[in-house]
Amino acid sequence: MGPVYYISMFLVVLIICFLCVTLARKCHSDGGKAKYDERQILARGKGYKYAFYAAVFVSFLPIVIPDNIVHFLGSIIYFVPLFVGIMVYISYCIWNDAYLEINLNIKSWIIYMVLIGLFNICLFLLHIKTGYVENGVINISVVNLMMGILCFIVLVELIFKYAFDKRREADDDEEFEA
Amino acid sequence: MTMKNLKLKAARAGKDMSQADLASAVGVSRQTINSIEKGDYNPTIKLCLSICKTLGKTLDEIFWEDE
Repeated sequence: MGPVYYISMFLVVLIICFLCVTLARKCHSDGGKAKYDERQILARGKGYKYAFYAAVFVSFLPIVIPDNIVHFLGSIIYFVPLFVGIMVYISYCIWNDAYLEINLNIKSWIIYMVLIGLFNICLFLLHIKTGYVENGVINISVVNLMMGILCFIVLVELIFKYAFDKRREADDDEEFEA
Repeated sequence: MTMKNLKLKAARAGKDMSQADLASAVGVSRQTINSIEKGDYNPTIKLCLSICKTLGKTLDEIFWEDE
């Protein structure tokens, strides 16, 4: 794979990012500004803090884990703190009702997560013929698997939270009617 | 120790509003109103005023803690 491949891949990623941002801005009438209330902004801030601590902690793990494992993981090891940070942040936000904007439809978000998760799993499976280990080092395509797993963990959390919220909302409504 | 805001709950019920109705009226999530009622979250003065205006009450009537 020569430089042309990497440049074209970079351009593809750039175009996809541009399309995503344009789509996100179109979805918001106020120019792409997310609508979170004051409690959600506070919770998201705390989420960032915990995610940062988690990412810093995990980034020190290569010091304590054996060298052969570090070598086996290769460049994947640099993605691990990133994924852990993202996971901590998203989980904290979901369980503190700060992940989704006000009045955002959770069902459409669940569909996005399924699509992104499946897309990444498919990308991972595309490398099944070439294999996932080269010269004793794990292939970078495993990042797609990590991303897919992350999406499905978020999906499960969102569904659990949705079910939990529905039950709580029903209890509140019953209390209100009483 | 967290203290439940029963005054807010009573005022909301008095106006025949659900948590979702009040949340929508003041521009916050339903969970935020729920957290305020449960005493898990202390709202800013801006949100307190918005809630009071929506419910037609004063700050004292809803947010002042009795001894």
